[in-house]
Amino acid sequence: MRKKLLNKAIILFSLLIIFLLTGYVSSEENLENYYYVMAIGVDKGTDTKINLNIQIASNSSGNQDSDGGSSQSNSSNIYSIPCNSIDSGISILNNYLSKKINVSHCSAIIFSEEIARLGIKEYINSLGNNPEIRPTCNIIISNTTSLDALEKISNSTENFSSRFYEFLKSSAKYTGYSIIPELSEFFYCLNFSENSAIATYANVSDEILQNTGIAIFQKDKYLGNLTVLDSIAYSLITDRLESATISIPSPNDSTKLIDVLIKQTKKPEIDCSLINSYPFINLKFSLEYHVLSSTYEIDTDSPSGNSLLENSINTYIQEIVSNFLYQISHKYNVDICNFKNKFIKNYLTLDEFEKIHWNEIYKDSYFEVETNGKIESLGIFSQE
Amino acid sequence: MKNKLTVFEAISIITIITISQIVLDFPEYLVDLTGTGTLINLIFLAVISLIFCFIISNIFKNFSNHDIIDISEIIGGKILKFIISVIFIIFLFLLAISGVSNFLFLIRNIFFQNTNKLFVLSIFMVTLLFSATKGFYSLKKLDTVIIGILGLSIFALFFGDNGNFNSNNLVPVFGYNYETTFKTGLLNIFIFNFMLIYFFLMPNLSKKNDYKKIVFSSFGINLALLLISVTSILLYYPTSITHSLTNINTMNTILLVTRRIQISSFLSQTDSIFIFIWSFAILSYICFLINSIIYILNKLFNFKNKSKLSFPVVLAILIGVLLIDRIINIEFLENIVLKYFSIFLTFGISFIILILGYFKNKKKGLNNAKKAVK
Repeated sequence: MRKKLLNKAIILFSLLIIFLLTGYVSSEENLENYYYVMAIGVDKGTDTKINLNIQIASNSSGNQDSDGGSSQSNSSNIYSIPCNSIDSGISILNNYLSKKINVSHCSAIIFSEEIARLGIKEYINSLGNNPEIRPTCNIIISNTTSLDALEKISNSTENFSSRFYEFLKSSAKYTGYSIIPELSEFFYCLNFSENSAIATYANVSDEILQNTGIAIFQKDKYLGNLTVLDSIAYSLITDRLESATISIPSPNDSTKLIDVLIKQTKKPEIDCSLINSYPFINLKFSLEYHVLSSTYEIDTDSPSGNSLLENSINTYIQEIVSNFLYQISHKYNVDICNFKNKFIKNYLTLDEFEKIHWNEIYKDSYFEVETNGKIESLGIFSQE
Repeated sequence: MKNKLTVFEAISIITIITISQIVLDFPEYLVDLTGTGTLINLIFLAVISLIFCFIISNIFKNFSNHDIIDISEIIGGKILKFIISVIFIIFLFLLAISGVSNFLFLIRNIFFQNTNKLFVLSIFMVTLLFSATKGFYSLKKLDTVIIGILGLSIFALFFGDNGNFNSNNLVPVFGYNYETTFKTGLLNIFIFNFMLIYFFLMPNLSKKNDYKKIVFSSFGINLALLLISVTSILLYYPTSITHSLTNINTMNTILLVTRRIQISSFLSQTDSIFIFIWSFAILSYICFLINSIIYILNKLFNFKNKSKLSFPVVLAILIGVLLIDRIINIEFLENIVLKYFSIFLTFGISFIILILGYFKNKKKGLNNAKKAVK
């Protein structure tokens, strides 16, 4: 009897220890003991190396002491600290605030363009090393200071929460106007010179913050930004686009615009080869088009009118993609679409691949873009 | 009879060893060495190991009541038995020390950054002490219960994270070059160290005829788990990174893969769930090592009450863990010492003893036959 009781006690004790070891039960882990960070901003400092801006969730009454504020709170406070590193800045804040800062709900890290030009590897690496932070956290480059960007977000008329940043991310799928740059991907790209890192480029103007394309990096230094059309092209090439709305000039009257919703029906076929020791990359896209605006001069019900519109959309998309590809290769010399990996497929070992000196020949790549798009719908009223 | 193993129990114990080593990030050492060629390398090594399995299972037919310690006694008497036992005990101790240190380092870095190391370690060791005193019977029963969920957790690495996977990361399929994949990559054979159990399995089976079945089934399952974990790492990390994982010095590549598993936006950062599930595997694995040390010690000295040995064994492991102390030492122990030690024991000394035992047995059989004829 005693032995049985002892056995049960041992089993219970072992289970309890497993719970303790995995951090499920701990008085320190009480939710009320934390301030939840929604976004982190990093600007170039004046006296110190950086200015760290931390946006913390608070409850609507503004009484933070009674409640740490959930990450889904609809108001926030921004704290700005001059410091030399992100970790030291968080430590200074921890010393100043009544609760411990927790970054496990942080959804975005915003860098100002100014600091991004100087290089952000050390900040990304220290964030990547923090086990609290989510690898899916967004990286945003702002055209003004990150403090300004955070303030604009806080003051926006939208109901604000850390979900705001998640919506920024998810909207990329259905608008194609930005990309989904995650901390983990950015971290890995930054640490290897052959992969180029990219982030969302956000433009602060007229009291609002808007995603306006892609910020591209050479190693850890910000090089420049691409437009929303480039962003759509990038999403098409990397098969990340669900849908996007673009305006194309009418084939019969270039002053008029036709709105078209594009969708990718198949993964793009990307064929890479070497011609005269230079990369030749052929891209084929299968798309479907939904014409959103009523067309004027074109008789879209007739086969000739339909194919005229179809061809002009195809040509327009080819131009967008070609412009984007030549810009990233010839102008910036950054392989953000990772064509290198597609080239490696043609080789059995890395030693064989390294003989082609990819980094040197990439900037002279030649691209051929084919779009095979079909008009799927013309809306409720196709002609006026 | 209570401690004899059935087919399922034996396979469970062998599989948990591999799962634990996957959790302890042993696949990273494979990828470090052979990069994207690891899958081909692993298949190549599996073929070599299968030949060993075939030879081992055929020879053990002649030693239905002996393990490798007994066979060493047949060949070289008590001195060789003592030497072999000591070598095995040292190896098992090192495995246990590295296992506890590695897992302790992992959970301290994630959950207990500000907690005293000795406190976390003592909780861990007390649990081990309890389970070790319960003996081999409770361990094998526990293993049969948890094996299903542990196996699923490894499959989840592959299927749960496939949104972030990039199939281009698997190329070039032969890695750096043929020499690294097939010649230098031979060192990766250490990952098949679970085969050491095959040298101790025969006398501990309830049905001796099941030996061959257990050897090949467990080998197949473990190979599948290793392939899944290596594929997950390769698919998750960009090619350039798998070619220099050592430069990044990741805390635990497998754990980083689990961090990306997300079930819609509702359940993210699932690494805690995995750590929770895997803590069972690690406890079971260390407990198995402790029981194995006790088993060999008992063979050597024939103790009256072997369950009392668990306390000094656990204490020795605790001292070892405290001595190691730094992550750099854990990596040295795993990547250098245990790697070569595993190869030396599994494919070297144990195998040679088995072959010698076979020939001695055959010679003895021939002599006996001659005597009978005379």
